[in-house]
Amino acid sequence: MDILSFIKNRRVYLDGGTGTYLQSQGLKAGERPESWCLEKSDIIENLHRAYFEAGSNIVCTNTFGVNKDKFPNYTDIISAAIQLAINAKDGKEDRFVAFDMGPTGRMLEPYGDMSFEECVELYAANVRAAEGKGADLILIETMNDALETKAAVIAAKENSYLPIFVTNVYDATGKLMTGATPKAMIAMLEGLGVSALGMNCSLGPDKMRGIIDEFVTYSSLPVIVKPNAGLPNLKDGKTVFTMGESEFAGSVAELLERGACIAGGCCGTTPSYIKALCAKTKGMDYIVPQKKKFTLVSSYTHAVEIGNDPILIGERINPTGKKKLKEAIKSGDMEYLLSEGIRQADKGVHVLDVNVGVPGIDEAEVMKDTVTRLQAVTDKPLQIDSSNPRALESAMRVYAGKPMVNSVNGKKESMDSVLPLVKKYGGVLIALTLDEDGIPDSAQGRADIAYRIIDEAKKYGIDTKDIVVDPLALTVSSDAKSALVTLQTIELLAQKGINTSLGVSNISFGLPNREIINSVFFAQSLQKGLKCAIMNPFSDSMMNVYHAHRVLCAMDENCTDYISYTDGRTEEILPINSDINLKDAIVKGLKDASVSSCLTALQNASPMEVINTMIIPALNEVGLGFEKGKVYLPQLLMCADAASLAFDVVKTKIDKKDCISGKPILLATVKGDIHDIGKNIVKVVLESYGFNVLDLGKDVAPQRVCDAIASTGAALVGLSALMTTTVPAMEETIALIRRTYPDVKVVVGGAVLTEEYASVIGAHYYAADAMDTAKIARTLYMR
Amino acid sequence: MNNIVCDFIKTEDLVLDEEELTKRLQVPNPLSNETIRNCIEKVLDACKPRYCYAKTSVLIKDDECEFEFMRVKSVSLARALNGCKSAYVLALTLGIDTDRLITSLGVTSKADSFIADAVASAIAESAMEYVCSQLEAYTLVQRFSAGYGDFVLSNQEKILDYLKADKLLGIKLGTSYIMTPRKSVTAIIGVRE
Repeated sequence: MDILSFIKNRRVYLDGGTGTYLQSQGLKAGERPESWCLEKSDIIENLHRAYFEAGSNIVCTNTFGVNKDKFPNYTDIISAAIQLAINAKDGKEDRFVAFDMGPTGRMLEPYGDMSFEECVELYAANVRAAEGKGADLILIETMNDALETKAAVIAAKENSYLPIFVTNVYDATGKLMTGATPKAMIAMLEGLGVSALGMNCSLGPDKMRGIIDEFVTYSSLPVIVKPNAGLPNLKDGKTVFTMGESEFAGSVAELLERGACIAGGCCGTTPSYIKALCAKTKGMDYIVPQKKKFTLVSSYTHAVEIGNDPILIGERINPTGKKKLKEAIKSGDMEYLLSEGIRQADKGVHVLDVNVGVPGIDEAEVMKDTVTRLQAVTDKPLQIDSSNPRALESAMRVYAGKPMVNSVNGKKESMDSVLPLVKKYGGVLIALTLDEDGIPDSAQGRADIAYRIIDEAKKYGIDTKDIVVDPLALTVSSDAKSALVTLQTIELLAQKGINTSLGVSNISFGLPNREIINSVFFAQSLQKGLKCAIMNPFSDSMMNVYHAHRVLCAMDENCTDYISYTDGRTEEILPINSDINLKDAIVKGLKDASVSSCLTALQNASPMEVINTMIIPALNEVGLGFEKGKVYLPQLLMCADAASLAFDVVKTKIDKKDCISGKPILLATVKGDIHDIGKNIVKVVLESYGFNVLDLGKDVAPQRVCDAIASTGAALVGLSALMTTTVPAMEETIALIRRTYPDVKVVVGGAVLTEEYASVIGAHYYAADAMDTAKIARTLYMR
Repeated sequence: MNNIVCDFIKTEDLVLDEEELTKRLQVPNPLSNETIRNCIEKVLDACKPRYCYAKTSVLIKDDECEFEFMRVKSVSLARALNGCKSAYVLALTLGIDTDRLITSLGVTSKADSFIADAVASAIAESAMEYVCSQLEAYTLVQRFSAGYGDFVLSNQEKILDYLKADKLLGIKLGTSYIMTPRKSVTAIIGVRE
């Protein structure tokens, strides 16, 4: 019998911990238990047998920390480990072997230095080594990061047909160490198509009731509990777990009563714990997991539920009709794009739409990079928006949760390319009601396309709850009845329990004062049952509709959200002190005042005058103060922030030919180094002087710097290194630049460098600090 | 499992050392500045300090230190542990949300991001002080971390492995031996009994 049939209608027992047992057999501190699969194989086999005899149906191979980076002989260990567990089955039918994979111990980008694909490959090598060796399932366990969990699951899916079970570690706050709630993990893992999920290690069973309740409420899959024997305590210099066998069994029994299906133990448990657990719970009724109907999207921290409260999807990260964003995407200026994300999140959207479709770029690469960077600065779930399936896939892969996917339509080609992606990576899919014949002009016609997409998705195993239909808003300026048709479609689909989403503002295209039409149409759509709106959160009239709708439809208890929303508004319209002049505003580092005073200044002076008589003198004054030790670094940075904002205002009025910064300056922290504070300071100071700066980030390979010179025509490259170990990478980068682009100048800085050292490694300039870099750049560019 | 103690620190229990902050921010009277006070509040809100430690025997022979979990050649460590028969090995982190805060502040204001970074380092330092105050011992010697003197950074891996810092604290190690979350510290503290 295969494991999935076996677990279908019965409670199943996993094994318990290995540490306590192996230490009793002589495992020393610092010694890796996995190596015993080869060195002391009889002990490992006996451990598995002891668990089977105690009542475990599934034992986990002793391969928790194995990967090709840590164990050169990982394939031998994995083969041996699986064989030992198989031996311990003693040929019995109701005994199964789980190939066990734990965390890599490394952190994924953008916080850590491991790329997503590198992580997938580490796990994939393990899965390939285990494939065909006789394991019945793959258990991915003790994971404390959502993205690493996803990498492991993808590696398993791509290299094996075995069922996948996943357990994560939740701490006392009820979340993963990197922030995900059980609901977020359920959304992601069910989307990825695992067969069972739950928690292990973490806390004692007595502390896990809340977590298990959340699992049982939202998960349609069997829930696994594999807790520690209580919390570890130090007693007479030895670690002792607070729970004995019978207390442990009693506590786990309670979790099973609450709906958990698969139970075992983790740290501190031994075969006797499993024996006690089996004895205590064998006769208990088994609760079969029920299919749940929640439509969930998730980020690396939390899930957003589509269905009751309307969901706002921020539309601003989309270059259509936005010149500045288009240029930012083309030039790789990620910061502008990220700040659009943060600003929308601050306005209260629930999901951020991400569209980077600009001609002439590698959309798949840019989309992947954007999603990676965005999820580092905002915890909002993302809606990946592209008509290019390759771009969708590259982003869905590295996304740390279950994304919204925008979109599929009724055309065969669209369904054939997008549905397999949702099947593989999970996601809530936006389905546009158009097909080969265009957009039907009746509500029934649009609903019919929706049903067809839903039926087609079912063939792939994608549930109706994961489809949100976009009935399409077409401008009323060309068809007077178009809004009515859209509203009827929403109503028709809502009656069938199908969720809908709409790009609301399309309705007013070509009309003046569009917000008037948009906001009323938004209100009408919500009234008909619209669940998601792709909209502009900076539009007050749209936000007013949203907040008022929630109050009037009893979704905002005690009008709390509405009151805090209107509170914020009063604050926002407070007049900004406009008496202060631009130079003072910058010198004092006042951001709001520098924007308002810059606008005032531009009424009476040309953009270049504002730059040359106000912004630059202010920066010079602060810079001089900094050199004399009268102004401190944080103040310098605050001034630079204020000056950058003023520059943004000036730039909108400036002619390109007047700009001091034709060619950009490239900045990078060199390969192997991830310290970027110094480099970031240089960036902000250069920008405050009006230079066009392209920041390549940290840990940048030499070739990437040269590629960027090629694509931008930069004349100056700033390199930073903070560790002595990464100076050789700096030297290598300089050598490559000098060889490939002899005219390009290189300025270097960083704590480990001196002027002398800089010239030894071939740099043209050495900058002691950010002001120094600005001076060098000004001399070079003003020539 | 080794004899590892693991716990959270309540942020109320942390005493932010103004001198430390002054040093890191290079600003006199940092607490009188509103922007800095705001950043402190944000960091305290984001950080979830937690730590774990274990006590190990230590045997010093010339420039070699033998712990229960590793043997390491280092003149500076041997000197620091001179006369100690045991030592505490500890790891501490402020958690990944602090990294997130610093990164996202950096998008809108480099000044706020820089200040938050310095504040977080100062908070990690006070958290370390707090943990040391919890250790039971007659005399603790100056704490010592990988990267000091000739006690090379690569020892970080064994220390984190020994303390199960990935599982217990979520501390991960990069290829250049830099820890994530970034505001994480490990240390060895000798005990003179």
